[in-house]
Amino acid sequence: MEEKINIEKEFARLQEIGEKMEDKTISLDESISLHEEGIKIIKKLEEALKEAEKRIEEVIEVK
Amino acid sequence: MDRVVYSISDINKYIKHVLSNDESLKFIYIKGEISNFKAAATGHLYFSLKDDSSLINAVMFSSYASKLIFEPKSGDEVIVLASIDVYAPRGTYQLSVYEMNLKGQGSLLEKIEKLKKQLASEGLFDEKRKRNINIFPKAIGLITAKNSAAIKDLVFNIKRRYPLVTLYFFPSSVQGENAPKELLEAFKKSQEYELDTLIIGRGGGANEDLNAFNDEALVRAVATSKMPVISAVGHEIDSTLLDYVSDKRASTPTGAAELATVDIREIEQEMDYRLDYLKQTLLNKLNDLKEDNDNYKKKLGGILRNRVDKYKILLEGEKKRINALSPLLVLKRGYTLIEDSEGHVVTDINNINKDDELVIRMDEGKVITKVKEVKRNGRKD
Repeated sequence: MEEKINIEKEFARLQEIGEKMEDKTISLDESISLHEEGIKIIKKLEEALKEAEKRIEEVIEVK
Repeated sequence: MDRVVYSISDINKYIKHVLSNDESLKFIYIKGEISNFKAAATGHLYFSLKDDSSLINAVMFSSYASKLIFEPKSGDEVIVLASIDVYAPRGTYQLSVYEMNLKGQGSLLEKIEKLKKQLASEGLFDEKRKRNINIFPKAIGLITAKNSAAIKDLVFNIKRRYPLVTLYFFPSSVQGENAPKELLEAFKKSQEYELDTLIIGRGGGANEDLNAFNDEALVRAVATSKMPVISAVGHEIDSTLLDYVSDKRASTPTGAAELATVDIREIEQEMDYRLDYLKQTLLNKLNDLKEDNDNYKKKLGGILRNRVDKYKILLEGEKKRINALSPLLVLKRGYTLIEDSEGHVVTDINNINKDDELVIRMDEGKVITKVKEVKRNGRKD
């Protein structure tokens, strides 16, 4: 299945999450939610980057 | 009385000395009749020149004899340019002949010289009148003798060099009384054709009669030729008037063929070289492009991989950060979180009542509980 995620966008969101979590004033609740979302995004990005690496190799190899 | 007695050698030597130093015996013109003519295999000519009452032996060495324009024989009346030569050991003297002409021929040469000057003064020989030869001709006209070596040479060599040309042959005698008239007629005929070049000539050697090509009417006519004329009168040393009035001159029919055409084999070779060069250039260019392409691909791949790697590093960074900031870290230390039925974390004990259904979040999972009793610090519910 090809999930066309926008790596830049997701990454930006991830950084946003990271920054938000540094804020000591947010509630426990929110930081847990953010954490969960962050983990999800990280998984997605790891997949996408692995996929990208594969595609680069394929293009180089063809000739 | 004392007499002076000389040796024969002395006498002969003295005679040689006297005669050799007498300027009036050097390079003088003498007329006489040839007798006892002998041409040696060496090319030297031995004969006597005589008049009514006396004779002198003569020799014409081959280097001079080769320039003769006629073949001498006994009985010929000639005028020679000669010097007296003494052969001391034998006590003989002879004429050493440098030039020889038939009596009456001298005047012919003079006539030709005069005509040459006249035509030159009229501008017929001017360089600027001379035209360039089209070496890729469609048609060439040939004026020379039928069945001669000249026509065979011309046809063979022209066709060998440039097979595409059409040859037109206008035969004519090239020596003898009728030659000038026939040459002129052949020339007039040639003017009716669309020729690129006209070649007029004959094969020859040193002793052939080239006089037809000095004919005034012929030379004047050739000056009016519609197309360029190559004269090929087969004579290395002397020139005929045709040579002067023509656009180009060759000394042999083969030479004329070379002037009149390009050599198709040279063209083919040139084309081969050029095609090879072109091919090579293209191949080189192709290789360069291929190389550039490969390099660019590698570069591109490198750039992309760098970006991916950068992201990976950043991702690691964010992962670490999030994990470090995560409150769920505490769960690993054995602490728990309490969530209500809606999944919200309960931090205020005042929000918990008896019989509430709560979820205890542990590191390894969730425990669903019902509240039995709430014990606030310092107060009992």
